[in-house]
Amino acid sequence: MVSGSLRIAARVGVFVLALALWQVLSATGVLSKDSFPTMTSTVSALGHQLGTRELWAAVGQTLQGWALGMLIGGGLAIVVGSLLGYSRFAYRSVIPVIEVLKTVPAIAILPLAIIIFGATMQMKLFLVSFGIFWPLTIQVIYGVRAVDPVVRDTAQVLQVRGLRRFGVVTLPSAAPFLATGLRVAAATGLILAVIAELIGGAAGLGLGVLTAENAGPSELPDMYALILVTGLLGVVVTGAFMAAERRLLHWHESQRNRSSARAS
Amino acid sequence: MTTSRGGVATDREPTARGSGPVLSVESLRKVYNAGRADEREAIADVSFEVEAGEFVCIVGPSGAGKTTLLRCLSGLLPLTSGTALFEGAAMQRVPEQVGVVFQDYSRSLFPWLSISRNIAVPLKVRKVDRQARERRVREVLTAVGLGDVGKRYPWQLSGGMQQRVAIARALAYQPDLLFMDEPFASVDAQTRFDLEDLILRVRDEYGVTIVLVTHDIDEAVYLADRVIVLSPAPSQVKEIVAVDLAKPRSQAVTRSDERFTALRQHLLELVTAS
Repeated sequence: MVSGSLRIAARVGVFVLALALWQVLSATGVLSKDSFPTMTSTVSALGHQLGTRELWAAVGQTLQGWALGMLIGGGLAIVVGSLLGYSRFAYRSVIPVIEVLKTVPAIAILPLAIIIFGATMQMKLFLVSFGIFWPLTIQVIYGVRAVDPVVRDTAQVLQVRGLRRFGVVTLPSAAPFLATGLRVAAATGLILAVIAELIGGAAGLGLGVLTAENAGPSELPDMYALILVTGLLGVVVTGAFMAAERRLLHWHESQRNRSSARAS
Repeated sequence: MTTSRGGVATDREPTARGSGPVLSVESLRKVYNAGRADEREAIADVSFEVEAGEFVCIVGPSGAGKTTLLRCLSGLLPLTSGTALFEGAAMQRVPEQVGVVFQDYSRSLFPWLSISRNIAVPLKVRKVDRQARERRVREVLTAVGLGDVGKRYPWQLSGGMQQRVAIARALAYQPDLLFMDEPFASVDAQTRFDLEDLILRVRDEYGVTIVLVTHDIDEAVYLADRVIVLSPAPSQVKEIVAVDLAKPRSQAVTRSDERFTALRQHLLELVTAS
Protein backbone atom coordinates (compact mmCIF):
# COMPACT_ATOMS: atom_id res chain seq x y z
CA MET A 1 0.00 0.00 0.00
CA VAL A 2 1.42 3.37 -1.07
CA SER A 3 1.32 5.76 1.84
CA GLY A 4 -0.93 8.79 1.68
CA SER A 5 1.80 11.42 1.75
CA LEU A 6 3.71 9.76 -1.07
CA ARG A 7 0.54 9.60 -3.16
CA ILE A 8 -0.10 13.31 -2.67
CA ALA A 9 3.58 14.08 -3.39
CA ALA A 10 3.35 12.13 -6.66
CA ARG A 11 0.23 14.03 -7.71
CA VAL A 12 1.77 17.41 -6.94
CA GLY A 13 4.97 16.32 -8.70
CA VAL A 14 3.17 15.44 -11.93
CA PHE A 15 1.23 18.70 -11.76
CA VAL A 16 4.41 20.76 -11.33
CA LEU A 17 6.09 18.79 -14.12
CA ALA A 18 3.24 19.54 -16.52
CA LEU A 19 3.47 23.26 -15.71
CA ALA A 20 7.24 23.19 -16.20
CA LEU A 21 6.85 21.44 -19.55
CA TRP A 22 4.37 24.09 -20.63
CA GLN A 23 6.81 26.83 -19.65
CA VAL A 24 9.74 25.19 -21.48
CA LEU A 25 7.75 24.53 -24.67
CA SER A 26 6.28 28.03 -24.86
CA ALA A 27 9.43 29.92 -23.80
CA THR A 28 11.66 28.08 -26.30
CA GLY A 29 9.19 28.73 -29.10
CA VAL A 30 8.28 25.08 -29.78
CA LEU A 31 4.70 26.23 -29.24
CA SER A 32 3.86 29.24 -31.38
CA LYS A 33 3.85 32.48 -29.39
CA ASP A 34 0.79 33.65 -31.36
CA SER A 35 -1.42 30.95 -29.91
CA PHE A 36 0.30 29.86 -26.69
CA PRO A 37 1.26 32.23 -23.91
CA THR A 38 3.92 31.13 -21.42
CA MET A 39 2.87 29.39 -18.26
CA THR A 40 4.23 32.20 -16.10
CA SER A 41 2.36 34.93 -17.95
CA THR A 42 -0.85 32.89 -17.80
CA VAL A 43 -0.46 32.24 -14.09
CA SER A 44 0.25 35.90 -13.42
CA ALA A 45 -2.82 36.83 -15.51
CA LEU A 46 -4.80 34.36 -13.44
CA GLY A 47 -3.43 35.84 -10.25
CA HIS A 48 -4.44 39.28 -11.41
CA GLN A 49 -7.91 38.13 -12.44
CA LEU A 50 -8.54 36.41 -9.13
CA GLY A 51 -8.42 39.87 -7.58
CA THR A 52 -10.99 41.35 -9.95
CA ARG A 53 -14.72 41.52 -9.46
CA GLU A 54 -15.37 40.60 -13.14
CA LEU A 55 -13.93 37.14 -12.77
CA TRP A 56 -15.98 36.27 -9.72
CA ALA A 57 -19.10 37.69 -11.33
CA ALA A 58 -18.46 35.45 -14.36
CA VAL A 59 -17.86 32.43 -12.10
CA GLY A 60 -21.10 33.28 -10.31
CA GLN A 61 -23.06 33.52 -13.56
CA THR A 62 -21.70 30.24 -14.85
CA LEU A 63 -22.35 28.44 -11.56
CA GLN A 64 -25.82 29.93 -11.27
CA GLY A 65 -26.80 28.67 -14.72
CA TRP A 66 -25.28 25.33 -13.94
CA ALA A 67 -26.92 24.94 -10.51
CA LEU A 68 -30.40 26.02 -11.60
CA GLY A 69 -30.14 23.86 -14.71
CA MET A 70 -29.14 20.89 -12.55
CA LEU A 71 -32.05 21.59 -10.23
CA ILE A 72 -34.62 21.83 -13.04
CA GLY A 73 -33.25 19.02 -15.22
CA GLY A 74 -32.38 16.81 -12.26
CA GLY A 75 -35.69 17.36 -10.47
CA LEU A 76 -37.69 16.59 -13.61
CA ALA A 77 -35.55 13.53 -14.32
CA ILE A 78 -36.12 12.13 -10.83
CA VAL A 79 -39.90 12.65 -11.03
CA VAL A 80 -40.30 11.41 -14.62
CA GLY A 81 -37.79 8.57 -14.16
CA SER A 82 -39.50 7.35 -10.97
CA LEU A 83 -42.93 7.36 -12.60
CA LEU A 84 -41.63 5.52 -15.65
CA GLY A 85 -39.66 3.11 -13.49
CA TYR A 86 -42.73 2.19 -11.48
CA SER A 87 -44.92 1.35 -14.45
CA ARG A 88 -43.70 -1.34 -16.79
CA PHE A 89 -46.26 -0.30 -19.38
CA ALA A 90 -45.28 3.37 -19.31
CA TYR A 91 -41.62 2.37 -19.43
CA ARG A 92 -42.10 0.18 -22.48
CA SER A 93 -44.13 2.87 -24.24
CA VAL A 94 -41.82 5.77 -23.59
CA ILE A 95 -38.33 4.26 -23.66
CA PRO A 96 -37.87 4.34 -27.49
CA VAL A 97 -38.51 8.10 -27.54
CA ILE A 98 -36.10 8.67 -24.67
CA GLU A 99 -33.41 6.54 -26.29
CA VAL A 100 -33.66 8.68 -29.44
CA LEU A 101 -33.72 12.00 -27.60
CA LYS A 102 -30.81 10.89 -25.44
CA THR A 103 -28.60 10.52 -28.50
CA VAL A 104 -29.36 14.04 -29.74
CA PRO A 105 -26.34 16.06 -28.61
CA ALA A 106 -27.46 18.97 -26.46
CA ILE A 107 -25.27 21.25 -28.58
CA ALA A 108 -27.48 20.47 -31.57
CA ILE A 109 -30.32 22.09 -29.63
CA LEU A 110 -28.28 25.27 -29.05
CA PRO A 111 -29.39 27.12 -32.22
CA LEU A 112 -33.00 26.42 -31.31
CA ALA A 113 -32.45 27.63 -27.77
CA ILE A 114 -30.80 30.82 -29.05
CA ILE A 115 -33.70 31.49 -31.42
CA ILE A 116 -36.24 31.03 -28.65
CA PHE A 117 -34.47 32.65 -25.70
CA GLY A 118 -31.66 34.73 -27.17
CA ALA A 119 -28.32 35.12 -25.37
CA THR A 120 -29.92 34.90 -21.94
CA MET A 121 -29.75 33.01 -18.68
CA GLN A 122 -32.93 31.18 -19.73
CA MET A 123 -31.14 29.88 -22.80
CA LYS A 124 -28.33 28.60 -20.60
CA LEU A 125 -30.78 26.98 -18.21
CA PHE A 126 -32.64 25.34 -21.05
CA LEU A 127 -29.47 23.91 -22.55
CA VAL A 128 -28.17 22.57 -19.23
CA SER A 129 -31.55 21.13 -18.18
CA PHE A 130 -32.14 19.54 -21.57
CA GLY A 131 -28.64 18.09 -21.75
CA ILE A 132 -28.73 16.38 -18.37
CA PHE A 133 -32.41 15.43 -18.33
CA TRP A 134 -32.33 12.49 -20.74
CA PRO A 135 -29.33 10.53 -19.53
CA LEU A 136 -30.33 11.15 -15.91
CA THR A 137 -33.91 10.02 -16.54
CA ILE A 138 -32.64 6.74 -17.94
CA GLN A 139 -30.38 6.33 -14.94
CA VAL A 140 -33.30 6.97 -12.56
CA ILE A 141 -35.51 4.47 -14.42
CA TYR A 142 -32.84 1.78 -14.11
CA GLY A 143 -32.33 2.66 -10.46
CA VAL A 144 -36.02 2.47 -9.58
CA ARG A 145 -36.32 -0.84 -11.42
CA ALA A 146 -33.23 -2.24 -9.73
CA VAL A 147 -34.91 -2.89 -6.36
CA ASP A 148 -33.69 -6.28 -5.20
CA PRO A 149 -36.51 -8.89 -5.22
CA VAL A 150 -35.75 -9.86 -1.62
CA VAL A 151 -35.94 -6.19 -0.62
CA ARG A 152 -39.27 -5.93 -2.48
CA ASP A 153 -40.63 -8.98 -0.63
CA THR A 154 -39.36 -7.65 2.68
CA ALA A 155 -41.05 -4.29 2.09
CA GLN A 156 -44.30 -6.10 1.36
CA VAL A 157 -44.02 -8.24 4.50
CA LEU A 158 -43.28 -5.19 6.66
CA GLN A 159 -46.27 -3.36 5.11
CA VAL A 160 -44.04 -0.59 3.75
CA ARG A 161 -46.21 1.03 1.08
CA GLY A 162 -46.84 4.22 -0.88
CA LEU A 163 -44.70 7.26 -0.20
CA ARG A 164 -42.94 5.55 2.70
CA ARG A 165 -41.92 2.77 0.34
CA PHE A 166 -40.46 5.35 -2.03
CA GLY A 167 -38.43 6.92 0.76
CA VAL A 168 -37.39 3.80 2.68
CA VAL A 169 -36.90 1.33 -0.17
CA THR A 170 -37.03 2.72 -3.72
CA LEU A 171 -34.89 5.83 -3.36
CA PRO A 172 -32.06 4.16 -1.41
CA SER A 173 -32.09 1.23 -3.88
CA ALA A 174 -31.85 3.68 -6.77
CA ALA A 175 -29.30 5.90 -5.03
CA PRO A 176 -26.14 4.31 -6.49
CA PHE A 177 -27.53 4.79 -10.02
CA LEU A 178 -28.69 8.26 -9.15
CA ALA A 179 -25.32 9.25 -7.70
CA THR A 180 -23.41 8.14 -10.78
CA GLY A 181 -25.95 9.87 -13.01
CA LEU A 182 -25.75 13.10 -11.03
CA ARG A 183 -21.96 13.12 -10.94
CA VAL A 184 -21.79 12.71 -14.73
CA ALA A 185 -24.62 15.22 -15.18
CA ALA A 186 -22.77 17.77 -13.03
CA ALA A 187 -19.73 17.63 -15.31
CA THR A 188 -21.87 17.65 -18.48
CA GLY A 189 -23.97 20.49 -17.12
CA LEU A 190 -20.92 22.64 -16.50
CA ILE A 191 -19.62 22.02 -20.02
CA LEU A 192 -23.03 22.94 -21.43
CA ALA A 193 -23.19 26.10 -19.32
CA VAL A 194 -19.81 27.23 -20.67
CA ILE A 195 -20.87 26.35 -24.23
CA ALA A 196 -24.06 28.39 -23.83
CA GLU A 197 -21.81 31.32 -22.95
CA LEU A 198 -19.01 30.68 -25.41
CA ILE A 199 -21.21 30.03 -28.43
CA GLY A 200 -24.58 31.30 -27.31
CA GLY A 201 -23.22 34.52 -25.82
CA ALA A 202 -24.83 34.32 -22.39
CA ALA A 203 -22.93 36.06 -19.61
CA GLY A 204 -20.36 33.97 -17.72
CA LEU A 205 -16.88 32.44 -17.96
CA GLY A 206 -17.45 31.22 -21.53
CA LEU A 207 -18.28 34.71 -22.71
CA GLY A 208 -15.13 35.95 -20.95
CA VAL A 209 -13.04 33.48 -22.94
CA LEU A 210 -14.70 34.63 -26.16
CA THR A 211 -14.15 38.32 -25.34
CA ALA A 212 -10.50 37.74 -24.46
CA GLU A 213 -9.98 35.82 -27.68
CA ASN A 214 -11.50 38.62 -29.75
CA ALA A 215 -9.31 41.19 -28.01
CA GLY A 216 -6.23 39.86 -29.81
CA PRO A 217 -2.86 38.31 -28.89
CA SER A 218 -2.20 40.64 -25.97
CA GLU A 219 -5.15 39.15 -24.12
CA LEU A 220 -3.99 35.61 -24.78
CA PRO A 221 -2.78 34.96 -21.20
CA ASP A 222 -6.15 36.20 -19.92
CA MET A 223 -7.99 33.84 -22.19
CA TYR A 224 -5.90 30.92 -20.99
CA ALA A 225 -6.36 31.97 -17.41
CA LEU A 226 -10.13 31.85 -17.90
CA ILE A 227 -9.88 28.43 -19.52
CA LEU A 228 -7.91 27.27 -16.47
CA VAL A 229 -10.66 28.62 -14.22
CA THR A 230 -13.33 26.63 -16.07
CA GLY A 231 -11.16 23.53 -15.71
CA LEU A 232 -10.69 24.13 -11.99
CA LEU A 233 -14.43 24.67 -11.62
CA GLY A 234 -15.02 21.26 -13.21
CA VAL A 235 -12.59 19.65 -10.77
CA VAL A 236 -14.27 21.34 -7.80
CA VAL A 237 -17.78 20.37 -8.94
CA THR A 238 -16.88 16.75 -9.65
CA GLY A 239 -14.97 16.54 -6.37
CA ALA A 240 -17.93 17.91 -4.44
CA PHE A 241 -20.26 15.35 -5.99
CA MET A 242 -17.87 12.51 -5.26
CA ALA A 243 -17.54 13.63 -1.65
CA ALA A 244 -21.33 13.85 -1.29
CA GLU A 245 -21.64 10.39 -2.84
CA ARG A 246 -19.14 8.95 -0.37
CA ARG A 247 -21.10 10.43 2.51
CA LEU A 248 -24.59 9.50 1.39
CA LEU A 249 -23.72 6.06 0.05
CA HIS A 250 -21.42 5.07 2.90
CA TRP A 251 -23.52 1.92 3.27
CA HIS A 252 -23.05 0.79 -0.32
CA GLU A 253 -20.54 -1.94 -1.28
CA SER A 254 -18.58 0.49 -3.43
CA GLN A 255 -17.95 2.81 -0.47
CA ARG A 256 -17.96 0.50 2.56
CA ASN A 257 -14.28 -0.14 3.10
CA ARG A 258 -12.98 3.16 1.88
CA SER A 259 -12.36 4.73 5.25
CA SER A 260 -10.61 1.67 6.62
CA ALA A 261 -8.57 1.23 3.42
CA ARG A 262 -7.51 4.85 3.67
CA ALA A 263 -6.30 4.37 7.20
CA SER A 264 -4.05 1.42 6.35
CA MET B 1 -46.93 -18.10 28.85
CA THR B 2 -46.20 -16.44 32.15
CA THR B 3 -42.46 -16.27 31.96
CA SER B 4 -40.81 -13.28 30.43
CA ARG B 5 -37.19 -13.57 29.59
CA GLY B 6 -34.91 -10.74 28.60
CA GLY B 7 -37.47 -8.22 29.79
CA VAL B 8 -39.89 -9.16 27.05
CA ALA B 9 -43.45 -9.46 28.22
CA THR B 10 -45.78 -11.56 26.15
CA ASP B 11 -49.00 -9.64 26.07
CA ARG B 12 -50.93 -12.08 23.91
CA GLU B 13 -51.91 -15.59 24.75
CA PRO B 14 -51.63 -17.70 21.63
CA THR B 15 -54.96 -19.31 22.38
CA ALA B 16 -56.73 -16.10 23.33
CA ARG B 17 -58.05 -15.59 19.81
CA GLY B 18 -60.37 -18.45 20.39
CA SER B 19 -60.69 -21.65 18.44
CA GLY B 20 -59.68 -22.37 14.89
CA PRO B 21 -56.31 -22.90 13.29
CA VAL B 22 -53.95 -19.97 12.65
CA LEU B 23 -53.30 -21.21 9.15
CA SER B 24 -55.57 -23.40 7.12
CA VAL B 25 -54.54 -24.62 3.68
CA GLU B 26 -56.97 -26.44 1.42
CA SER B 27 -56.09 -27.93 -2.01
CA LEU B 28 -53.51 -25.24 -2.70
CA ARG B 29 -52.26 -25.34 -6.28
CA LYS B 30 -49.70 -23.07 -7.91
CA VAL B 31 -48.91 -22.98 -11.62
CA TYR B 32 -46.35 -20.57 -13.01
CA ASN B 33 -47.03 -18.95 -16.40
CA ALA B 34 -50.44 -20.63 -16.60
CA GLY B 35 -51.72 -20.99 -20.15
CA ARG B 36 -48.36 -20.24 -21.73
CA ALA B 37 -45.86 -22.48 -23.46
CA ASP B 38 -43.53 -22.41 -20.44
CA GLU B 39 -46.30 -23.34 -18.01
CA ARG B 40 -44.93 -25.12 -14.95
CA GLU B 41 -46.88 -26.66 -12.12
CA ALA B 42 -44.94 -26.09 -8.90
CA ILE B 43 -47.55 -27.21 -6.38
CA ALA B 44 -50.22 -29.75 -7.28
CA ASP B 45 -52.33 -30.19 -4.18
CA VAL B 46 -51.35 -29.22 -0.65
CA SER B 47 -53.66 -29.22 2.38
CA PHE B 48 -52.81 -28.89 6.06
CA GLU B 49 -53.58 -26.84 9.13
CA VAL B 50 -51.38 -25.12 11.69
CA GLU B 51 -52.70 -24.62 15.22
CA ALA B 52 -51.86 -21.63 17.38
CA GLY B 53 -48.49 -21.97 19.08
CA GLU B 54 -47.39 -24.84 16.87
CA PHE B 55 -43.96 -25.16 15.28
CA VAL B 56 -44.35 -26.78 11.86
CA CYS B 57 -41.46 -27.59 9.55
CA ILE B 58 -41.88 -28.21 5.83
CA VAL B 59 -39.30 -30.48 4.23
CA GLY B 60 -38.91 -32.00 0.80
CA PRO B 61 -36.34 -32.77 -1.86
CA SER B 62 -34.68 -29.78 -3.51
CA GLY B 63 -36.89 -28.28 -6.17
CA ALA B 64 -40.00 -29.51 -4.36
CA GLY B 65 -41.53 -26.04 -4.42
CA LYS B 66 -40.92 -25.36 -0.72
CA THR B 67 -40.13 -21.70 -1.20
CA THR B 68 -43.04 -21.29 -3.62
CA LEU B 69 -45.35 -22.82 -1.04
CA LEU B 70 -44.07 -20.47 1.66
CA ARG B 71 -44.56 -17.47 -0.60
CA CYS B 72 -48.13 -18.58 -1.35
CA LEU B 73 -48.85 -19.15 2.35
CA SER B 74 -47.53 -15.77 3.42
CA GLY B 75 -49.51 -13.88 0.81
CA LEU B 76 -46.50 -12.87 -1.28
CA LEU B 77 -47.66 -14.95 -4.24
CA PRO B 78 -51.23 -15.45 -5.48
CA LEU B 79 -52.54 -19.01 -5.56
CA THR B 80 -53.69 -20.59 -8.81
CA SER B 81 -56.49 -22.42 -6.99
CA GLY B 82 -57.42 -23.64 -3.54
CA THR B 83 -57.46 -21.59 -0.36
CA ALA B 84 -55.01 -20.43 2.27
CA LEU B 85 -56.74 -18.85 5.27
CA PHE B 86 -54.87 -16.87 7.90
CA GLU B 87 -56.92 -16.68 11.11
CA GLY B 88 -59.94 -17.64 9.04
CA ALA B 89 -59.55 -15.00 6.32
CA ALA B 90 -58.26 -15.31 2.78
CA MET B 91 -55.15 -13.25 1.99
CA GLN B 92 -55.12 -10.53 -0.63
CA ARG B 93 -51.58 -9.62 0.39
CA VAL B 94 -49.33 -10.29 3.37
CA PRO B 95 -51.48 -9.86 6.50
CA GLU B 96 -50.29 -7.41 9.16
CA GLN B 97 -49.92 -10.12 11.78
CA VAL B 98 -47.62 -12.25 9.65
CA GLY B 99 -43.82 -12.12 9.71
CA VAL B 100 -41.38 -13.63 7.24
CA VAL B 101 -37.68 -14.32 7.76
CA PHE B 102 -35.86 -14.92 4.49
CA GLN B 103 -32.81 -17.08 3.89
CA ASP B 104 -30.85 -14.23 2.40
CA TYR B 105 -30.49 -11.96 5.43
CA SER B 106 -27.84 -9.83 3.74
CA ARG B 107 -30.39 -8.73 1.17
CA SER B 108 -33.45 -8.73 3.42
CA LEU B 109 -31.95 -6.28 5.90
CA PHE B 110 -31.82 -2.81 4.37
CA PRO B 111 -28.10 -1.99 4.11
CA TRP B 112 -28.79 1.76 4.12
CA LEU B 113 -30.41 1.63 7.57
CA SER B 114 -28.68 1.00 10.88
CA ILE B 115 -29.72 -2.06 12.89
CA SER B 116 -32.16 -0.16 15.10
CA ARG B 117 -33.66 1.68 12.15
CA ASN B 118 -34.11 -1.63 10.33
CA ILE B 119 -36.00 -3.04 13.30
CA ALA B 120 -38.00 0.18 13.67
CA VAL B 121 -39.37 0.05 10.10
CA PRO B 122 -42.41 -2.16 10.83
CA LEU B 123 -43.01 -0.19 14.05
CA LYS B 124 -43.08 3.12 12.21
CA VAL B 125 -45.54 1.65 9.72
CA ARG B 126 -47.74 0.75 12.69
CA LYS B 127 -47.41 4.27 14.09
CA VAL B 128 -45.68 3.20 17.31
CA ASP B 129 -44.38 6.38 18.96
CA ARG B 130 -40.66 7.05 19.24
CA GLN B 131 -40.17 6.12 22.88
CA ALA B 132 -42.07 2.87 22.55
CA ARG B 133 -40.15 2.14 19.36
CA GLU B 134 -36.79 2.57 21.03
CA ARG B 135 -37.89 0.41 23.94
CA ARG B 136 -39.18 -2.33 21.63
CA VAL B 137 -35.98 -2.30 19.57
CA ARG B 138 -33.92 -2.80 22.72
CA GLU B 139 -36.22 -5.58 23.89
CA VAL B 140 -36.09 -7.62 20.71
CA LEU B 141 -32.34 -7.16 20.33
CA THR B 142 -31.95 -8.55 23.84
CA ALA B 143 -34.38 -11.36 23.02
CA VAL B 144 -32.24 -12.52 20.09
CA GLY B 145 -29.07 -12.28 22.18
CA LEU B 146 -27.64 -9.15 20.63
CA GLY B 147 -26.51 -6.36 22.84
CA ASP B 148 -25.60 -2.86 21.86
CA VAL B 149 -25.44 -3.13 18.06
CA GLY B 150 -28.28 -0.74 17.23
CA LYS B 151 -26.06 1.97 15.77
CA ARG B 152 -24.14 -0.39 13.52
CA TYR B 153 -25.04 -1.39 9.99
CA PRO B 154 -26.13 -4.91 8.93
CA TRP B 155 -23.08 -5.51 6.74
CA GLN B 156 -20.79 -4.79 9.68
CA LEU B 157 -22.11 -7.88 11.49
CA SER B 158 -21.41 -11.57 10.95
CA GLY B 159 -23.94 -13.71 9.06
CA GLY B 160 -25.33 -15.25 12.22
CA MET B 161 -25.74 -11.85 13.85
CA GLN B 162 -27.46 -10.48 10.75
CA GLN B 163 -29.99 -13.31 10.81
CA ARG B 164 -30.59 -12.57 14.51
CA VAL B 165 -31.36 -8.99 13.52
CA ALA B 166 -33.76 -10.21 10.83
CA ILE B 167 -35.51 -12.36 13.45
CA ALA B 168 -35.61 -9.42 15.85
CA ARG B 169 -37.20 -7.23 13.18
CA ALA B 170 -39.84 -9.90 12.51
CA LEU B 171 -40.57 -10.19 16.23
CA ALA B 172 -40.70 -6.44 16.83
CA TYR B 173 -44.32 -6.13 15.74
CA GLN B 174 -45.29 -9.36 17.50
CA PRO B 175 -46.79 -11.30 14.59
CA ASP B 176 -49.11 -14.21 15.28
CA LEU B 177 -47.50 -16.31 12.60
CA LEU B 178 -43.87 -16.32 11.56
CA PHE B 179 -42.74 -17.90 8.29
CA MET B 180 -39.08 -18.80 7.93
CA ASP B 181 -37.57 -19.76 4.58
CA GLU B 182 -34.39 -21.80 5.09
CA PRO B 183 -33.39 -19.24 7.71
CA PHE B 184 -30.21 -20.98 8.83
CA ALA B 185 -28.98 -22.36 5.50
CA SER B 186 -26.35 -19.66 4.99
CA VAL B 187 -24.54 -19.83 8.32
CA ASP B 188 -21.91 -22.21 9.69
CA ALA B 189 -22.83 -25.32 11.69
CA GLN B 190 -22.15 -23.95 15.18
CA THR B 191 -24.06 -20.73 14.49
CA ARG B 192 -26.84 -22.85 13.09
CA PHE B 193 -27.23 -24.77 16.36
CA ASP B 194 -27.23 -21.50 18.29
CA LEU B 195 -29.89 -20.01 16.04
CA GLU B 196 -32.04 -23.15 16.26
CA ASP B 197 -32.02 -22.91 20.05
CA LEU B 198 -32.64 -19.19 19.82
CA ILE B 199 -35.76 -19.62 17.71
CA LEU B 200 -37.14 -22.30 20.06
CA ARG B 201 -36.62 -19.99 23.03
CA VAL B 202 -38.13 -17.02 21.22
CA ARG B 203 -41.10 -19.11 20.21
CA ASP B 204 -41.80 -19.82 23.88
CA GLU B 205 -41.26 -16.22 24.92
CA TYR B 206 -43.44 -14.66 22.26
CA GLY B 207 -45.96 -17.45 21.82
CA VAL B 208 -45.61 -17.09 18.09
CA THR B 209 -46.71 -19.82 15.70
CA ILE B 210 -43.89 -20.78 13.32
CA VAL B 211 -43.85 -22.41 9.89
CA LEU B 212 -40.28 -23.10 8.82
CA VAL B 213 -39.11 -24.43 5.49
CA THR B 214 -35.84 -26.37 5.46
CA HIS B 215 -34.03 -28.99 3.42
CA ASP B 216 -32.25 -30.15 6.56
CA ILE B 217 -34.13 -33.10 8.04
CA ASP B 218 -32.20 -33.04 11.33
CA GLU B 219 -33.15 -29.43 11.77
CA ALA B 220 -36.80 -30.17 11.06
CA VAL B 221 -36.92 -32.96 13.63
CA TYR B 222 -35.08 -30.90 16.22
CA LEU B 223 -37.35 -27.86 15.88
CA ALA B 224 -40.79 -29.08 14.92
CA ASP B 225 -43.93 -30.25 16.62
CA ARG B 226 -44.99 -31.63 13.25
CA VAL B 227 -43.10 -32.10 9.99
CA ILE B 228 -44.87 -31.81 6.65
CA VAL B 229 -43.11 -33.84 3.97
CA LEU B 230 -43.56 -32.67 0.40
CA SER B 231 -43.15 -34.82 -2.71
CA PRO B 232 -40.97 -33.68 -5.61
CA ALA B 233 -42.59 -30.99 -7.80
CA PRO B 234 -45.43 -30.67 -8.54
CA SER B 235 -45.69 -30.93 -4.76
CA GLN B 236 -48.20 -32.85 -2.76
CA VAL B 237 -48.17 -33.61 0.94
CA LYS B 238 -46.54 -37.00 1.25
CA GLU B 239 -46.97 -37.38 4.97
CA ILE B 240 -47.36 -35.29 8.09
CA VAL B 241 -45.11 -36.61 10.86
CA ALA B 242 -45.77 -35.72 14.49
CA VAL B 243 -42.53 -35.18 16.42
CA ASP B 244 -43.09 -36.54 19.92
CA LEU B 245 -39.73 -35.51 21.36
CA ALA B 246 -39.55 -34.09 24.88
CA LYS B 247 -39.42 -30.31 25.39
CA PRO B 248 -37.48 -28.19 26.03
CA ARG B 249 -35.07 -29.59 23.52
CA SER B 250 -31.32 -29.33 23.66
CA GLN B 251 -28.82 -30.04 20.94
CA ALA B 252 -26.79 -32.56 22.95
CA VAL B 253 -29.67 -34.49 24.54
CA THR B 254 -32.35 -34.36 21.86
CA ARG B 255 -30.09 -35.27 18.97
CA SER B 256 -28.78 -38.35 20.78
CA ASP B 257 -32.29 -39.54 21.63
CA GLU B 258 -33.20 -42.86 19.99
CA ARG B 259 -36.55 -41.45 18.99
CA PHE B 260 -34.76 -38.59 17.20
CA THR B 261 -32.77 -41.09 15.17
CA ALA B 262 -35.88 -43.07 14.31
CA LEU B 263 -37.83 -40.00 13.20
CA ARG B 264 -34.86 -38.79 11.23
CA GLN B 265 -34.57 -42.17 9.51
CA HIS B 266 -38.27 -42.22 8.67
CA LEU B 267 -38.19 -38.68 7.20
CA LEU B 268 -35.05 -39.39 5.25
CA GLU B 269 -36.74 -42.37 3.61
CA LEU B 270 -39.79 -40.26 2.77
CA VAL B 271 -37.73 -37.45 1.25
CA THR B 272 -35.30 -39.58 -0.73
CA ALA B 273 -37.82 -42.13 -2.02
CA SER B 274 -39.02 -41.06 -5.43
